[in-house]
Amino acid sequence: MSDRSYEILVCEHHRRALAYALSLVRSAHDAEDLVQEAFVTAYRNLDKFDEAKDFGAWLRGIVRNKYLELLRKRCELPVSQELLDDLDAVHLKWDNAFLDRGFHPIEALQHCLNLLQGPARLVVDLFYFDGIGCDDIADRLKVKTDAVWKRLERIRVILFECINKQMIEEPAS
Amino acid sequence: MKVNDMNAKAHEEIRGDKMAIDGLLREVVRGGLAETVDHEFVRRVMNGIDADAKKGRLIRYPRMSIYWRRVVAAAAIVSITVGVLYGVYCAQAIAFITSVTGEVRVRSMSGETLAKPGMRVFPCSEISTMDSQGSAVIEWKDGSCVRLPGRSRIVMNREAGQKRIEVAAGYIEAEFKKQPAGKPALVVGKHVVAEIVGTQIRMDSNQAESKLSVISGTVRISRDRDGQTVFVKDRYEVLVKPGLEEFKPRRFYWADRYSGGSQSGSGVAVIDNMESYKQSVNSRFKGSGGGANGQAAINGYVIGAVKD
Repeated sequence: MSDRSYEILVCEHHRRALAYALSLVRSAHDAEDLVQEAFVTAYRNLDKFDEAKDFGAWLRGIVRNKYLELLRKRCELPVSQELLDDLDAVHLKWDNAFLDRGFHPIEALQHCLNLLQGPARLVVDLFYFDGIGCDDIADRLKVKTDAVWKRLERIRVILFECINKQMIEEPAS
Repeated sequence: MKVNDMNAKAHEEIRGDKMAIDGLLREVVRGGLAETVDHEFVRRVMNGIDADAKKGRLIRYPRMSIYWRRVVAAAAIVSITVGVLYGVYCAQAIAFITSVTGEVRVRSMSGETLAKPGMRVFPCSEISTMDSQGSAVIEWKDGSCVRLPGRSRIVMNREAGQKRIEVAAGYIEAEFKKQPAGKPALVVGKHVVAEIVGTQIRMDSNQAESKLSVISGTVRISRDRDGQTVFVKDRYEVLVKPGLEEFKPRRFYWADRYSGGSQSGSGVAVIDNMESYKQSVNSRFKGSGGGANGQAAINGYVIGAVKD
């Protein structure tokens, strides 16, 4: 495979791989490092890759191994194996939806965020886009920290359902 | 499945989904919402692949300029050549031990061992006769030979084709065949260095004086004190000692000194066959032994000795 062909693969899969890595690690730098290393490892082992299988899934497997390797180095405990499998299952579902309908999860998320309004959108903006912690958000909204956590949890579920609806059930026209 | 199990399963599923959304949201924050390609990150990945590929081909050390590469290559070639030549040099025997009496030890780079007839002598070998009655005879490939009497020690070497005997203790009796031009054999004592082209001489040297006797050929000898040089013909001898101004050869007679048989010890060597001493011609000897404590005599069966 030429460098140019591999670059196309990188373009196609890097954001999904980064999203997967960011599910595992808090730091964006760690996630970028994991994904970069995974792409380099994948390139080095391209001859071992079965082209009949999905490159994204193979790459996620490498990211996952890199993540476990990183935590071993740092003497930290990884998330449970079941949770990792669960996360993989979600991404696999999105992979299939993307293959079937060509609808990228980020595009779906963009659509769903636009649907999210009011206090829910405010919490998402404050927590994710402005990087404000739950305690500060709680102070600002004059609610308890637990309430902010619960609200964020609910928003994630809503967004997940929305994305699934967009990608799998009702693809955007 | 019980209700609790179902709830637990549902909870796990929700947790995985939340993780996925959390990661997706974080990625949107990191890379932006509008584009599905982060070109900067793609460039970074491709650069990483390129660097990794190069790393595989090139070892990670600073690249040297052509000049330094040549210097290093030349140094490596010189080192290897010197090593090989030194190995060949050291692996090559310079002489053989032809006879051994009593305990004689040979110490070389490979260690110390008891000498036996037929044993090869390598460069830088130290040969010692351990008891007063012991002796050893060592013969070079050109037929020159040295006899080491009891309680003596020598170091034999060869430097650029030039024989060298360092008499560390006791004395030696030696015979040198004609040596290659420009490469006289060296007999080194505590205060004496004799350069021998190939002649038949005898030199007795002790604390007070040195006396060179030429058995055949002609020898040039120079005195340390004033650098004066004289030529000594066969059957002549010259005496050098402190306070003696005379420095000219005098005739000697074999019968006066050598009446046959062999005598060793006290630095006096005995000539068994007078005719054999007359074979070498056009020989030179340059010695400096005034006041030195040693003897060196070179001839068919004679005589080089340096005493402590």
